[in-house]
Amino acid sequence: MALQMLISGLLLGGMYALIASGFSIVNGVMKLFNFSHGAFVMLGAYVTFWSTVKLGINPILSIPISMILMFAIGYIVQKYIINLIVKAPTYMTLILTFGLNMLLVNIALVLWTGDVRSTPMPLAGMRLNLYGASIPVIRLIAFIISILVTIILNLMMGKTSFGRSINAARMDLDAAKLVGVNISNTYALTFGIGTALAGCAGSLIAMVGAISPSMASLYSIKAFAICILGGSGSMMGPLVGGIIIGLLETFGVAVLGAGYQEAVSFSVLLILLIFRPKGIFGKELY
Amino acid sequence: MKAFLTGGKQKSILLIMAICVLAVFPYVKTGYIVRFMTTLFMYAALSQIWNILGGFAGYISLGLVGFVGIGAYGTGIIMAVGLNMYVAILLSGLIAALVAMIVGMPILRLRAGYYSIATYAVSFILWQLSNNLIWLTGGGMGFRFKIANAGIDRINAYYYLNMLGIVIIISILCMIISKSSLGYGLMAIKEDEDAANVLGINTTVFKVVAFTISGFFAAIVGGIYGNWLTFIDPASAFDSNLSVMVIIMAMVGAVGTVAGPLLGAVLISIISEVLWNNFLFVHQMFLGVILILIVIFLPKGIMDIFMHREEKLSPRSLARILGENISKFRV
Amino acid sequence: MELLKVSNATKRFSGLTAVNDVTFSVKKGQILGIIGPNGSGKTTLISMISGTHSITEGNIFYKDLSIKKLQPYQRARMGIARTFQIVKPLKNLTVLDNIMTAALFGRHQMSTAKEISLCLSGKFSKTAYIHTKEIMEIAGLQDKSNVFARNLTLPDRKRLEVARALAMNPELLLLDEVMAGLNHKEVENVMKLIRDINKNGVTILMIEHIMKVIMGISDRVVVMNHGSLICDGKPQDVANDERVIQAYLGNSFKNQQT
Repeated sequence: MALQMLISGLLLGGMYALIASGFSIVNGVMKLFNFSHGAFVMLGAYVTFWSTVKLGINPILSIPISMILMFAIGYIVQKYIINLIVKAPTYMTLILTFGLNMLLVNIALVLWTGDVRSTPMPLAGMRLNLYGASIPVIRLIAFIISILVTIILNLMMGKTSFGRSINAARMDLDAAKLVGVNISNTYALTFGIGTALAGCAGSLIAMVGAISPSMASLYSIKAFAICILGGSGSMMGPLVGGIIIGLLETFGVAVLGAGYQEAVSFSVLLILLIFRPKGIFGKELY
Repeated sequence: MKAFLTGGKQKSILLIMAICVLAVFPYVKTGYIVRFMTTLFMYAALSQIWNILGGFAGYISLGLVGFVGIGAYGTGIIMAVGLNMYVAILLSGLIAALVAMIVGMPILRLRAGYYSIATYAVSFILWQLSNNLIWLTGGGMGFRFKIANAGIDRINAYYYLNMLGIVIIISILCMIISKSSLGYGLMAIKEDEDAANVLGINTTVFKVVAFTISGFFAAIVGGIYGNWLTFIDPASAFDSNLSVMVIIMAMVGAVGTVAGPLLGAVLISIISEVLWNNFLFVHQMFLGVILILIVIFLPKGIMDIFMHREEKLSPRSLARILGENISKFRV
Repeated sequence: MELLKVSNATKRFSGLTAVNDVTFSVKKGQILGIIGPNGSGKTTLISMISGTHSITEGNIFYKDLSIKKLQPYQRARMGIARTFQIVKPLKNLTVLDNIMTAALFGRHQMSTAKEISLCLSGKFSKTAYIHTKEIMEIAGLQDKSNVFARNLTLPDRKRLEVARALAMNPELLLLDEVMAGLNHKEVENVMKLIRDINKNGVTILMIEHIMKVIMGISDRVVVMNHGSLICDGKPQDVANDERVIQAYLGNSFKNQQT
C-alpha cells in the first residue's frame, strides 16, 4: 500500500516537476511570476486532446506539436505584450499575467466548453506490476518523458549560445546588454521555452487523466508552490519540489480524501511562505 | 472635472441629493434594474474595501471573495440557529475579522507578489473546506436561507437599500481612512516600505489593521449577499471571479482614492452588463483583456488622467500619459 | 552623556564582512563625521544603527539601552532618524504629505494597543500639520508644498530627505552623504542647516566625502576602511594620521594642509 502511494506520488511528482521548471525559468530569468503558466499547460493538454481525437495522431507525437505551438504563442505574448512592462513591480506583472490567464481560460471555455475531457489512449488500462504495486504504463511513460525533457533542458541551458545569453540576462541585465545580448529577444525566448515546457507537461497530463479549462489556475499555483519549495532558477529545485509535492498530495488524498488534493499543496505553499520562503535549497525566489 | 473633485460645500449638497434620489429609486421603478443596481452597490462596496489594502498600501489581494464567503456562510449558519439577520451579519463579520487577523499576521510579512498568491491560496482553501465540510455548509448541495414572507418588489427594495447603505458607510470609512494616520501609513508603505519603517511606522500592525477591517466589512457584504440570493453554494460564495472583478473595478477607477473604485464599479458593471447581454460567453474574455490593457496603459486608473495634471488634456497629452508606464518598464 | 555607543559591532552578509568589530561612541550634542573610501562599510554601519540591517555580532547602546533587537520603527520612536544615501522620497505624495507622514509618526513612544487605536481614530492631526509647515520653512521647501516628490530636482529631494528626518523630532540624526551631487552654494546652505539643527540640541552622525564639510563641522571624526574603524579623534588629528592618509586622503591632501 505504501509502496503504491510512493510510486504514484513519484510519478505525479515527475510531471509536476516539469510544470514547475517552465515557471521557474521564467521566474528566475525575468523575475516574473507568470500566473498564466497554468493556462499554457491547459492549452498544451487540449492540443494533445484534439489532435488525438480529431486528427488521429498518436498522443506521443502530439507532444512536439504542442511544444512548438506553445513556444510560438508564448514568444509572441512576451515580445508584444508582457515585454511592455516586464520591469514593473511584481504586483503589476502579476496582475497582467492574471488577466492573461483569464483571457486564455475563457477563450478555452468559449471554444471547448467547461466539460471535462478524457483523451483516448492506446495502452490505456495497461499496468505494470512491481512488488505488489500496480503502475499504469501511461503514467510511467509520462514520468520518463518528463525527466528526459528536464534533463535535455538543463543541458541546453548550459551548452548552447542562447542558453548562455539567457543566463547572462538572469545574472545581470545591464551587463548582459553591454556585452551585446538582445534582451527583448532573450526574454521572449525564455518565456517561449517556459511555455513550451508547460505545453509538454499539459500534453502528458492529457495523456494520463481528464482535462478542463479550469485546471489552469490550479497548475499556476502549484507551479508557484513547487518553486518556493525547491527554489527557483535552478534545475534541481523544481525537480525536488515537484516530487515532494507529488508525494504530499498523494498521501494527503489517501488520508483526507480526494476533495482535499489541492488544499494540501496550497496549505504547504502557505506554510512555506510563512516559515521558509527560501525553500529547501535556500535560493530566494528572486 | 478637477473642480468637481475638489468641490466643497456644493459637492456635499449634490451628494446628499444623489443619495436621496437613489434611496427612493426602488419604489419608483421595479424589476431587473433594481437588482442590477443592488449588484452594482455590492461591487462598489467590495472595490472600496479591496482598495483599503490594495490601493492605499499596494498589497494586492487576489482572494477577497474568501471573506465574502465567510460572511455569507457565517450569516446563514448563525441565522439557522435562530438569531436575527443583522446580529448574524455582525457576528459573521467578527468571525471574518478574527480569521483576517490570524491569517493576516503571517502573510502580510511577505513581499507583495508572494502575498497576492497567498491570498489566492487562502480563498481557494476556504472554498475547498466549504465544499468538504458538508455537516456545516451542506457542501456542494448548497445552503438555503429562509425566504422572507413578502412580495418580490419589496424584497428587492429591501436588499437594494441594504447594499446602498453599506456602500455609503464604506465610502465614508474610506474617506476617513485616507485622511487619517492609517491612510498616511498605508500610503507610505506603498511608496517605500523601508522608508516607512524608518519613519516610525509599524508596518506590520498597519497592514494587519487594514486587512482586518477589509475582512470584517467584506463579510458583512457577504452576509447581505447571501440573504439576498437565499441560496449559496461553495462555487458561488467563493467564486474567484468576484475577486478579479473587484480588482478590475478598483484599478480601472483609480487605486488609492476614494471615488476611484466607485467610478470603476459603475463603469465595469455597465460594460459587463452590455457584454453579457450581447456576447454571452465572451464577456469574461473581455474583462481579461481590460485588465491587461489597464495594467499596461493606466495602472493608476482612469481618474489618474484627470487628477494631479498640471497640463491641459489633449490627444497628445493623453497619448503621453498612456505611454508613461511603458516607457518606464519596458525592456 | 553618551547618547550612542557602538560596541564591537560586526555585520556579515553570508561571506562578506561589511562591518568588522567597530567600537565608538557619540556624546549628546556632538557632531560626529564618518569618512572612508567607498565600500568601507559606512552606510552599513548607519543601517545597523537605524535598524535597517540587523547586527551579526556586538551591540549598540542608545541612552544606555541595548537596541540591537529593536525594529527600525521602534528605534525611530526612540528618537533616531536617518536619511538614505540614495534618497527615498515617497514619490506619489506631495512634499507636504511626505513630511506630514514623518511628523505623524516620528518620535512618539507608544504601545501596540495605542498604535491600533491611533490607526482607528481617523483624526486629522492639527499639531502634525503645523509642525510640518515649520519644518518646510526650515528646510526651504515652503514654496513646493504641493509638488509631488517625483517631480522634485535632486537638491530638493535631498532637502526633503533631511526635512523628513527633522520632522520626526529626532535626538540622533544619521545623515548619509546628504551633500553628494550638490554644488558649492548648495553645500554651504546645507552646512548652515546642519549647524542650526545641532544648535537646537540634535546629535548628528554624518557620512560625507567632502572634506571641507567634515573638517568644518565635525566635533570628532571616525574613519572606516574595509569595514574596520582605523581612526577616531579630532578632525585635525585624523587628517594627519598616517593610516588615514594612506587609506583615504592621499598625500596631496596632507601637503595641502601643511
